[in-house]
Amino acid sequence: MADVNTEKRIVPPVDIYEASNEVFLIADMPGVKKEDLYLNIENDELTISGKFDGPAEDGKKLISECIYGNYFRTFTLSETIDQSKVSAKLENGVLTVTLPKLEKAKPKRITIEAA
Amino acid sequence: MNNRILHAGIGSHAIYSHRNKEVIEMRMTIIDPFRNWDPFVEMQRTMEQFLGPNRPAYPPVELVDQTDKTIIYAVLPGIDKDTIELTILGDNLTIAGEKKLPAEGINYIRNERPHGKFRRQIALPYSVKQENVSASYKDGILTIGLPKAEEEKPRNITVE
Repeated sequence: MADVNTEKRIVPPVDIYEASNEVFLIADMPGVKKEDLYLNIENDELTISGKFDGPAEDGKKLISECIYGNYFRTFTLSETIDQSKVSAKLENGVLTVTLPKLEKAKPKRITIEAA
Repeated sequence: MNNRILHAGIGSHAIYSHRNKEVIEMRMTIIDPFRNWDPFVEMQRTMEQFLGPNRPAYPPVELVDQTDKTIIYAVLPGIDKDTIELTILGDNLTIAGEKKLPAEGINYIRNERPHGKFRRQIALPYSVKQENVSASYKDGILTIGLPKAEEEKPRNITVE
């Protein structure tokens, strides 16, 4: 029974929202350590992946509801994202990717000159 | 995800899989009530009417039984550890807390991560030595160690 869930591909749930200067992508990836997390941008596609092996403990599992395996998800980046400035942070099993917008895509206030 | 929507999706799936002139024909056929009738789906739907939406318990847990202790792992990504409430009352452990949205009052392009208040009660298989319960939170996993009360530990009985 214990091996049924292993090596399963998990699609992490995400929140994506836009601020004026950047787009934030937040993904739940519980159990992933920093060294087991991979982020990659190729052909305008951002791929996030990570591994969660599950707790390694001996004993009898009386309740087993967690899904272990490899997190994997791909996102297409719009042309307004500055791909060279993408940064990421992993905290408490949550990955936050900051996708800064290109200068031209940032909102600009236009001052109106007095006539 | 609401199961009701899923069920509706089973019947109308044909519409989405045929993006050509057959669409209208397909639409006609799904009116036939028994064409896509699935006794299993029907049974689930009936169950749902009695039990409410089939929502899995949050957080999902693993309960591992060892000789001298029980360990519970709860998958709780992105929670401020100081807001997690753990209570043991009798043989029940309660995990409660709140998972907050990353930002309030904005429009989400995607909003799939669960959020809100949660509370889950887990029946413990053994009496617990309450004073020695430990809990830690790392990588979004809450680990609770529950040492068994002396009388619950297995004992070897020597035959004289």
